[in-house]
Amino acid sequence: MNDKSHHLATALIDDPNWAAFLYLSDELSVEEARLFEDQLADREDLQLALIETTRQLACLANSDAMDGQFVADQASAPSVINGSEMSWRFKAGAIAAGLVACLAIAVFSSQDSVDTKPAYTEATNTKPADRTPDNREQLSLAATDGIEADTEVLLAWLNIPSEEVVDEDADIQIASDLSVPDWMLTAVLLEAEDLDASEDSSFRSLPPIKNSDSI
Amino acid sequence: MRNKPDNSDLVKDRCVDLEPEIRAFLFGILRDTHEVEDAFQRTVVKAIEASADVNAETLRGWLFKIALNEARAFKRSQSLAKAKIEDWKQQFGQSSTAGGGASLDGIISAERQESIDSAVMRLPKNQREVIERRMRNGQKFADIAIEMNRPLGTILTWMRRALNSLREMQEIRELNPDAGHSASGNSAADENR
Repeated sequence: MNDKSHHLATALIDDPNWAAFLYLSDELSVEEARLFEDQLADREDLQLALIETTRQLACLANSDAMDGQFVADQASAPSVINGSEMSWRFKAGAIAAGLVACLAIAVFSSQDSVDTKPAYTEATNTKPADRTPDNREQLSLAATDGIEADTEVLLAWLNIPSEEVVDEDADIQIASDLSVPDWMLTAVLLEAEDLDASEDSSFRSLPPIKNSDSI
Repeated sequence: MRNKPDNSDLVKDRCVDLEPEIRAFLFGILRDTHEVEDAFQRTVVKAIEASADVNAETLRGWLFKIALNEARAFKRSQSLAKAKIEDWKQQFGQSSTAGGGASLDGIISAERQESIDSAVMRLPKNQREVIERRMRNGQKFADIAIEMNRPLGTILTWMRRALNSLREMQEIRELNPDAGHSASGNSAADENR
C-alpha cells in the first residue's frame, strides 16, 4: 500500500521505534521488510529500536495485565469511569447546556421576530442516521420544535464518549479549553424547568414558517 | 608482511556482553527461539573467524551486522515464503516460564516483564484496548478500527502513543525505581486528557 510505504519511509526517519513496530507486527510488505532490514545493517539507532521493541512486545504478549477483561468489558456495560473521563463528560454536558441556552434565547426572541430562518425546516428534517458528531451542532441549531428536541440534543451530547469530543488525531483538544460558567448552567436548568412545568402551548404552536411571510 | 592482530578474545568478550541484545535482535527478525539459538551460535563463530579484521571502535555495529546477515541467511534457508504466523501472540508469547526450551530467557528479564505489566495498567483506556486487541486477540488494525468505530489513523496513533508511553515509563523506572510509578502514572493521565 502506498500510504503504508510512505508511513514506513517517514517512520524510518522520524521514529525508528515505530518503524521497528511495523516490522515486528508484520504490517510491512516483503519489500518494505527488506528495506527495513537493509537499513538495519548500518543504522545503530534502528538496531536499538528493534531490540527494545522486540523486548517490549514480548513482554506485552506475556503480560498478565492483559487478561481479556478489557475487551470483554467493551461488549457489556461501560466500565469504571475515571476522573479524566468524568471530567470530559462534564465538559461535554456543559457545552451542550451552553448550546441549549443559546437555543432557548434564540427561540424566545424568534417568537417576536418576523424573520424566520430557512434552515429551520431543512435541518429539522435531518434523519437520525445523519446525526454524526460533525453535524450535531447543525442539528442542535435546528432543534427548535420543542423542549423534547432540546432534551434529545442534550442527551445526545451527554452520551458522547469522551474520546469523541477530542479531535480524532487527539493532537488538538480544543474542547479542553472551553468552560461554561456556572451561572449559565443554572440559567439553562431553570429555563428548562419552567418550560416543562408550564407546558405552555404557545411555544409548541409556533406558526409555520410560511405564515411569517404574511406578516 | 605484517601479521593481523588477534582480536578473538576481544570479540568473544563483546559477544558475551552483548548476548542479550544480539538475541533480542535476532528474535525480532526470526521470531523463533530455536532459530535464534542457532543464529546466535553462527554469529559468534563468524565473528571470531573474522576477528582479525575488526576495528575495536566499530565492534558493536560490526557484530550486529554479522547477526543480521546470519538471520537473513537463516530466513532464506528456511524459505523466505515461510508463512507469517497469524497468531501474533504465538510469535512473541513464548513465556520464559514455559518449558520445552522455547524460552525468552535472555531476551526479556523478570524485572522488565513486571515493569511492563505495571505500566500497561496505567495506560489510557483506549490505548490499552488497542494493545489488547492487537496483542492478545491478534486482530488486524483495520478490524480494530471497525470494531472500535474509529478511523484507522486514530487506532494507529493510539498504538504508537501506547508504545511510547510504555517506553518512557520503562526508562523512568530504570532511572529511578522508586519514583517511576508516580511519574509515569502522571504521564499516562496527561495523555488521556
